[in-house]
Amino acid sequence: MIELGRHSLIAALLLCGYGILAAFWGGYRKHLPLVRSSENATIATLGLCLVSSCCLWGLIFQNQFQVRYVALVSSRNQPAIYKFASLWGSQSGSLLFWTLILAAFSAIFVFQNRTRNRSLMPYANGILLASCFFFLLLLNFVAPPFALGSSVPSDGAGLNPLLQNPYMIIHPPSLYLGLICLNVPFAIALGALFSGDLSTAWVTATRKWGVVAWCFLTFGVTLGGMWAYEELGWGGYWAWDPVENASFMPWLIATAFLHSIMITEKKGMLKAWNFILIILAFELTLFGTFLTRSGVIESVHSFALSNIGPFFVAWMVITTLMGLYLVTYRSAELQRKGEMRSFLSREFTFLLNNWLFVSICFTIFWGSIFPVLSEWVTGEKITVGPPFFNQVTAPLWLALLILTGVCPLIAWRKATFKNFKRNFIFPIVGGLGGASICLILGVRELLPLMLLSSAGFVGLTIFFEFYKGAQARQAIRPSAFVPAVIDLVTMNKRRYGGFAIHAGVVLVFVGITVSSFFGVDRFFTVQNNESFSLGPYSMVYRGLSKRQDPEKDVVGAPLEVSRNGEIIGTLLPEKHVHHTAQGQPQSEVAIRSTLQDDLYIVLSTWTEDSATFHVYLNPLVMLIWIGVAIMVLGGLFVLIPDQKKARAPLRRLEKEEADANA
Amino acid sequence: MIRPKFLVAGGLILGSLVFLMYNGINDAMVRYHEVPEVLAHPAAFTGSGIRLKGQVKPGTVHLYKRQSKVDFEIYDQASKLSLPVTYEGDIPDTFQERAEVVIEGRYHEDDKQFWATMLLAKCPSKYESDEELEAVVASSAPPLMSEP
Repeated sequence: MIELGRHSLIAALLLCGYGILAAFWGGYRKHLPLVRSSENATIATLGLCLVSSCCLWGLIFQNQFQVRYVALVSSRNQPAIYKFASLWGSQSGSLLFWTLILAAFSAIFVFQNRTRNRSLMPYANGILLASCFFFLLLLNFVAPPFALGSSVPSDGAGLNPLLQNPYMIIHPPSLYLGLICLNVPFAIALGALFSGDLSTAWVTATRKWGVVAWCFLTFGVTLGGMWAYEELGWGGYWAWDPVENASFMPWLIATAFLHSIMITEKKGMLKAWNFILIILAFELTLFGTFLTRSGVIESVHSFALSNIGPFFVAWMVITTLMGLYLVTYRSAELQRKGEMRSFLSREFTFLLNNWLFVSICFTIFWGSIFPVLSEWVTGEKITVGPPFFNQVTAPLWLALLILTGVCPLIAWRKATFKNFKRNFIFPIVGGLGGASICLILGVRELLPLMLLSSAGFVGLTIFFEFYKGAQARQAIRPSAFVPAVIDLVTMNKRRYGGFAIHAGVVLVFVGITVSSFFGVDRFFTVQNNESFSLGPYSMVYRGLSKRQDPEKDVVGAPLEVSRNGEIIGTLLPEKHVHHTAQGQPQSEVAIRSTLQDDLYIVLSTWTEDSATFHVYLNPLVMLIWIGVAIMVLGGLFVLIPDQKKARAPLRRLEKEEADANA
Repeated sequence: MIRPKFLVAGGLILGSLVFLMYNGINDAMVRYHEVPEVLAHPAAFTGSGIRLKGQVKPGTVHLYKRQSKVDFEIYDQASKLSLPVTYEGDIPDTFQERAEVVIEGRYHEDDKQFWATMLLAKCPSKYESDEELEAVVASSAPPLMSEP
């Protein structure tokens, strides 16, 4: 099985190499059979990667510890589900998994475009194959997953216990899906540049793939936050750790890209800018992988230090130069059609939105690599912590939040006072009303006050948009309000899916603002049967409970919890000591989540008759998860194609609205 | 041509970004220093917060029974010097003897202690070279925190 896995990797490498040549040569000479052959090579590469991955899974399940990777990430007692997840538990396996997903996306893309987008397909496919080729090079020569260890241990080291939780099964794959999926819009964009066919076909294709990637990324980044929240036991969900930042930066640029491409689609502006953004997003996915795996930056959860860093740098340099060269080469064709006229126009607010996303990304990038830069420049290692990121990005986030409300409703070209009054007067009044409610409730700090009232403003703009749309529907075809909304939304999925995403964003903003400004935490040391309280909750400690599982020892400290005097149950914060991993203990946090607040308890230390707890009361954290769920669902909704016939009356409606605005 | 007023707007945004970042860095930066530097010039490190990197010296860990607090010595491999540290707060699960730690805080000259306000510890099982893997597989280091 070792040989089969290894040989299929070699075969995949050769096949990819052939496929690249066939794709580019076939595309250049317009030789269709050769192009088809390169597309078949993509599908065959997927098959070979699948064989290789199954071999590694097989070796892990059969406890073949002579394979170094298996000994590292698996052990005899490891539950089957974590044996499955250990394929991506460390360096070389996760590279294999990455390649597998990349090949799968490439194959789906090829199938989807058997008859479509033919002018750019050869090059786009060639670029995807080149990406596969790069990872296969690493797998064959730098980080081989099937390499044998120098001896055969009787048992493996096992997956790091911090990673043995359900998030490990779902978080890396969803993040990988997002990061890797960005390869496809990048390939389409470069394919369009190569072929010189810069009509709107490529815009539609990249936008769709971009939305898919964005959904996966949103989901993956959030799962990372949830993992940190439930497993790392420090009471928060985002620490601006380099690894978190590495996954967040591509998300920011991908989001900017999805906005700018709308302007290209509708107004023919910002063409070259789109290409720059998609190239940047793609490079950031590579940069993230580089950052996590090269050991350049210290992080609390970096996985393995290794020698693959230089290869990533080389690949990033090659792809960036190629992309920028192509953009310059085609610059004549990328001239914009329309012209921007006014600050008070939808065009300009979209541009502003893009600048803000890029600024936030640049801030995060700068903060993440600051220790390295400062050491190069001054010889002194200086680091900037979470305060830097919070302080610098907070005003930018605030501006972005306000734009979320303004952008979709402001008129094209130049807004008039009439347009302004029509769309914004109620939401502004509502936002100010929200601010006064916050003031009465005792919010005195400026930043949360502004964030919350802006969130109210944006929420109201979205609400009125649905309300007015539904009323217009009712005027055309009389019906009840709710069916009218459903009718409205299903007829223009892109517009209302987008609004739904923005509504999710508002919830996320409220959740983050409230939980970061109004959370409290305290340490409590108590005797058996002693009680203590925080906020509306009071807890009674009922003495230690110990038990032994096959793979770990568990110490628990059960707490009887009541809220406002009413008993609501028992929470059990625990410490696990895994038998592998050098007896490294691990906190199992006990969390009681409600819509209103999370009670979050960590068992800190203990003796026979007392225990110390770190108790957090985090308000509205649940809103963040709900908001993200809405964002992802909104993104998926956008992807459902509109029925052409059903759209016609709505187009009329839009036109009437536009006339009314003008 | 891009109209000049949009160039001005872009310039303003760029300017405020630079201003925000400059301020942010000044407010939030923390310098990394070495254990020998602190021992040689203790007076220089009492004012501002600094970061130190080193190992937890075996045999020096003392966990307080009634609070989340720990005393230990941070050991600098290059100079073989160590410095006593007191830390109060969440003790990371990965904290144990010989673990690589990063601490942040101030040096107090009067009691010759480094008072840490942040403690990061790195799990020692993340290296992939053959020797280190075998060390991991073979070792059965006793748990540190099971019975404080």
